[in-house]
Amino acid sequence: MSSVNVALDRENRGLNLEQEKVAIHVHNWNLYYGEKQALKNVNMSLPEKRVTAFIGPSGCGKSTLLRCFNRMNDLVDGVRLEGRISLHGNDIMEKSLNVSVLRRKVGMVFQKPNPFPKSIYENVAYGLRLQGENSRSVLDDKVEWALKGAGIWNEVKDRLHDNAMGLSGGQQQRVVIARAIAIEPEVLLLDEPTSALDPISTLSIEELIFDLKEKFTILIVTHNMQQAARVSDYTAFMYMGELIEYTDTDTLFTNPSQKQTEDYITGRFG
Amino acid sequence: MDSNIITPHISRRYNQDLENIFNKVLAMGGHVEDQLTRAFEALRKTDAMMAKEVIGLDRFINRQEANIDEMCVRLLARQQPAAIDLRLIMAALHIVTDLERIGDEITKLSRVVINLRDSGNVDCTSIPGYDHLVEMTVCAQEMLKITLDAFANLDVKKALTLLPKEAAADAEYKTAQKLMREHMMANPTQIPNILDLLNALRAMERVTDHSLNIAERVFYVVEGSDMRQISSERLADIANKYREVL
Repeated sequence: MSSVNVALDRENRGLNLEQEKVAIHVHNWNLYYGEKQALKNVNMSLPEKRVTAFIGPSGCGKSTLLRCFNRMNDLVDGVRLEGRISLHGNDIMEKSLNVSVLRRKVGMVFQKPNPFPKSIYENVAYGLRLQGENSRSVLDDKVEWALKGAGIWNEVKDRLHDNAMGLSGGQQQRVVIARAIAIEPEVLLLDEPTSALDPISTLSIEELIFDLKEKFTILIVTHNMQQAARVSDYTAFMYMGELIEYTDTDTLFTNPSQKQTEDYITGRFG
Repeated sequence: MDSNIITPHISRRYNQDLENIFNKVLAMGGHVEDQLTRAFEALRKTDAMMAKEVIGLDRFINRQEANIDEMCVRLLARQQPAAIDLRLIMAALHIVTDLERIGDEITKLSRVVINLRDSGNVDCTSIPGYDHLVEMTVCAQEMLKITLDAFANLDVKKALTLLPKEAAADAEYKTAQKLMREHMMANPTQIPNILDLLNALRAMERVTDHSLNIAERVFYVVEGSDMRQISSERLADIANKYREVL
């Protein structure tokens, strides 16, 4: 197939990275843990209100990259960073930037559900209270909105004041997602959000991700390639700190352009 | 989707993709049916213009096949379908191939109409053997309709009715072939025309074969086994089971 045909073909599917609005721009990005270089000259534009998945073998740098987007790596000793990452055009690495403000815009959900040992309601209201919101009616509305958005309202609406630790793993993870979206971030980082969950809870979370992209830009790191194939619009394959291939998910999983990608997604190495 | 065997999944996108494929196969089937109806009309009127239009439609049918193929590949890569979903996708891939080939056979019929017209026939209904071709075309139309209905409703009972029909079409083809050979011997000047009709007859007989293939895919989706591998006794048992249930 000629390159013109390939381009037309992608257009037909309605997804083309070049036509997307950019939420996050990564430019010549390098990250070193001491002597070891964990990210090597990564360049990419992450589209707004889409799901972008990062896949690759353990240690390829996908989680490290994800953690750069809300500066979680600031907390790691001996980290050295080079390059530029911008969120809607604003450099997020600027020394003067208030990291709490950044994290309000870029929320994160981790592998293991980590609800606070508080009620379901207080878990979701937590971020809002930190922002100084004390009005009961506003909190009630936002908690309901977030729990509905996280697809768990019907399951917990009658026990909002029960301890969140008493919920199942899948439910806890959805409460954590509700907590993350309650403050209406622009970007939601999901670091292996379903790897501690059973298959059905996993499918519920995946369905939720599909709904959430209407409002948020979603970046998901997953070990599960099939999950990336199911939920994402775009997929980035990383290997040994390098971004090997980054394109729409249909193309990456049916006709990748790099041999390393093909070998990884077909289970030939990794 | 009409069939109640295919129930919704947790993932709506998966539902949509599956339904899309299913509906596109049905739409393609509808277009092929329409193509056959028009080719048949062109034959009855010896209308070369209409026959050319029918041939023009074939490209559209081919494009639909390619589109559906690609949709299936994407769904296989993204969703890793299992059980009935997997069987449905595998069936869709086979069915669109059969539909595309039916389109090719209809093109052959249309070419025959153009040939007959070009060789000076204003009305081909008087060519010896014409009636056999009409009979076979009616049979092909009927079988195509039944098999597409069977697929639309994932109706095994209906799919099974194609078995005796296809056997009858085979027998009819052999008889017609023999009679047309006799016509050729009796009317040597008509040999080129009769040969054309024989080609068209063969094309319509192939349509009945492809229709049966589609019915076999319906059986596969619902029953999970290959109808071609099942003994005729066992198949009769299954047919009876459906008769009792429905």
